[in-house]
Amino acid sequence: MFPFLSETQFPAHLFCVIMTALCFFTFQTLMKASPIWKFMQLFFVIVLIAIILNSIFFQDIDTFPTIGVNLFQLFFVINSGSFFFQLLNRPNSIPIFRDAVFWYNTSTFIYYSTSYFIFTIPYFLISHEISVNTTGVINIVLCLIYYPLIGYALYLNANRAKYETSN
Amino acid sequence: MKPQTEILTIAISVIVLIFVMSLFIVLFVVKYKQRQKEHEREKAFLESQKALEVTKAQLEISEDIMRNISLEIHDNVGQLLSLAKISIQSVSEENFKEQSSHTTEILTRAIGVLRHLSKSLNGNFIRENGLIDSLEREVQAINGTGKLKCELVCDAHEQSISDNNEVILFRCIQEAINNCIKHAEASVLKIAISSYQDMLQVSVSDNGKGIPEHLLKGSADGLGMRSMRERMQMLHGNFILNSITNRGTEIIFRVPFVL
Repeated sequence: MFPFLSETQFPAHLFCVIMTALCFFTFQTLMKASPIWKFMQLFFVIVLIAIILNSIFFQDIDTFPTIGVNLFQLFFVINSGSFFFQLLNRPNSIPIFRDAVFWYNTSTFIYYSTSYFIFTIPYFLISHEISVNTTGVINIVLCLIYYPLIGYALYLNANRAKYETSN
Repeated sequence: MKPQTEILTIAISVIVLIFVMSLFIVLFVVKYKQRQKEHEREKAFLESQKALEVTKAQLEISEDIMRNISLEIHDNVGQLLSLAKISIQSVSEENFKEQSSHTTEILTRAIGVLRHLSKSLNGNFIRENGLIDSLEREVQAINGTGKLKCELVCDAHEQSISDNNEVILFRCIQEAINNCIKHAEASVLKIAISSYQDMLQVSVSDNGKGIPEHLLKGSADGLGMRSMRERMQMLHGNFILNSITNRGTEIIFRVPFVL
């Protein structure tokens, strides 16, 4: 149907931009009141520009954007790390294990920091003639951790009113 | 290094990474729980402090009311009754008619003062008649004394705030009026009721000598300013004091409307 898509890495480039924006808007709702939010806005602009410049000048549309992927993953890791510190500074009244944002942030932090690590090593794997599939297996394991935690966070968020009234 | 050993190295690295992050999260949870407890303690402390301040403000209100009753009885009713006593003592056959009429007049005034005192102290009377009606009575009483010219301007609906808040606001306005009468040496007193954003605003302004700077710097507690400020805080409202020496004082009260 779209034969050009099999010859190009355009969706991956677009994915990097969308994921960066998605991360920014998600954490905006969580960290808008944080004193470091202005810095995070600036950081978002820098990361977005770097991803776009990478797609134009370094890893063109036919190359998989490993740098772009690493950048948006780093952006996720820094945002979730900062959010942990914000949680410490402004603790909620509900117990932490019933707090949806805690589980969302924990899953994001674990998934993207590990993912960042495994996305930086394919060059090493290729140069040592090791199958890149190894990272694929690790990624599947990570997804098995990530998505159930996101699901649990969504469940807690849907039942938030119940937990808040019971405390 | 053999590929299998390298795969093992990578797997171990990932496991170590996940372990380090898990450790980080465990430490975070421990620290977070500590902070949560501290936060709860601080919140409880602030709430108890607030409750203490509310109690203190209520005690001050009662104290103010008692002082007002005492002053009103001493300055007005007491003097009128003393006058009536002298008038009765000076009755003779010649001036009986004239003196009895004079004494009746004095006693009528004393009854009027007592009635006004009773009404202005009765919260139910304010609740039943509303803020504007009660203020109109105050204005009439002030104008009746002839000490200063008092004017009431109204551009807002009094029904917009709750009955209890109306009584507290009325007491604050009374306090501001009393301050003006006792200390300001003003000839004109203006009470203006209006809306300010989602709040009812009452401004009490005069053209008196203003509050001395040293009292303003010390928050003018002696003039009941702290009590008025605390009462406004209780209503989640605002208290603003503007004063210029020899030009006058303006006190603004803002109380949120009931949605």
